[in-house]
Amino acid sequence: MKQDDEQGIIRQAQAGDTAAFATLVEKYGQLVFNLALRTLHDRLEAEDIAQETFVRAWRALPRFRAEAQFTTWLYRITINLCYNRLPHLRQELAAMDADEVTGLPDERQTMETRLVMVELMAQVQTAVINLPDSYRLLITLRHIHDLSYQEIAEVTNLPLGSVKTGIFRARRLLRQVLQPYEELTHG
Amino acid sequence: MDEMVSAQEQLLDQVLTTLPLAPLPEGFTARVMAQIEQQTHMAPVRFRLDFLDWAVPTFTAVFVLVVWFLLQSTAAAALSGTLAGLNLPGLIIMLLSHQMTRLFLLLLLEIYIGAVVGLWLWYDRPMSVVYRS
Repeated sequence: MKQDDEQGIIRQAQAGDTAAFATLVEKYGQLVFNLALRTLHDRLEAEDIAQETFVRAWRALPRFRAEAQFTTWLYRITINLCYNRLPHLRQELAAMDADEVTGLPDERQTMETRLVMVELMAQVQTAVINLPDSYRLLITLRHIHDLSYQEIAEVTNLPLGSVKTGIFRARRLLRQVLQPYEELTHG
Repeated sequence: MDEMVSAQEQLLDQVLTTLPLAPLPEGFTARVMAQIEQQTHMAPVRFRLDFLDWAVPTFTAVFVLVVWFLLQSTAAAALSGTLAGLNLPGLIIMLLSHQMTRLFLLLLLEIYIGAVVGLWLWYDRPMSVVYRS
C-alpha cells in the first residue's frame, strides 16, 4: 500500500467508512497483535488487547492527525493498554536511568546479509521471551517493529535516555546467548 | 574485546530482525469490525430548517384566518338577520356573497396546503441515522 493510498484510506475511515477501517485492521492487525503478544506473553490476552486497540483507534480516529505515523499511533494505544494489564511495566521502564549507554549500534545500520541459523534464532527468541517485561517491550519495538529510539520514546512516553538504557541492557542480556556461538562472530 | 562485542551486536541485530511474527488469529478483522458495528447507535436528525418548518406555520396561520373569517361572517349574518326581520334569507345571501368568494378561495388554499403538508410528512417521515459513537 502506497503512502498516498494509505492516507486516503485513513481519511475515508476518519469520515466513518468502516470498510476502509477494515483495510487498516487487516494491514496492521498482525503488527499490533505481535506487539501485545510479545509484551503480555499470552495469546488470548494479546488478541484481546489488539482488538481493543482497534476499537479505541476507531473511536479516536477523527482526532488522529495525518502528520503522525499511523503505526506509531496504534502502538501507543497498544502499549497504554498493556500498561493497564501490567502495572509494573511502566514503573520498570520509568526506573531506567539514562547514564549507562555505551556502544549501542547505529540505528540506521542495515543488514546486508541474513544468516540462516535456525538454532541461534530459536535461542534468541527464547531469550527475548525470558527478558523482563520492560526490556522485552523495548526490544520488540526496536527490532521487530523497527521503530527509532525517538519513536519508542514517544510511544512509551519515556525519556529518550531511558529508552536507550533499556535497549542497551536488554541487548547486553541477549548477548549472553551468543557466547556459545562465538566462532560465528569471528567470521 | 570491543571488536568481539561489536561482532556480537551485529549478529544480535541480524537475529532479532529476522525473528518471525506470529500469525494473526483467524477471523480477527471480522471480530474487530463486529465490535465496531456494535459501537454505532441511533441518533436524532440534526436540526435544520426545512420545507415543513415553513409549511406548517403557514397552514396554521391560514387555518386561523379562515376560522376568523367564518366567525366574522356568521356574526354579521346573524346581526343582519335580526335587523332585517323578514328579509333575512335574501339579506344573508347578499351580505355573504363577497365573503363567500374570499372564504372559498381561502378554503381551497387551505386544502391545497394541507394536502402538500400531509404528503410531505408521509415521504419525509423520520428515518434512522447511524453515526459513530
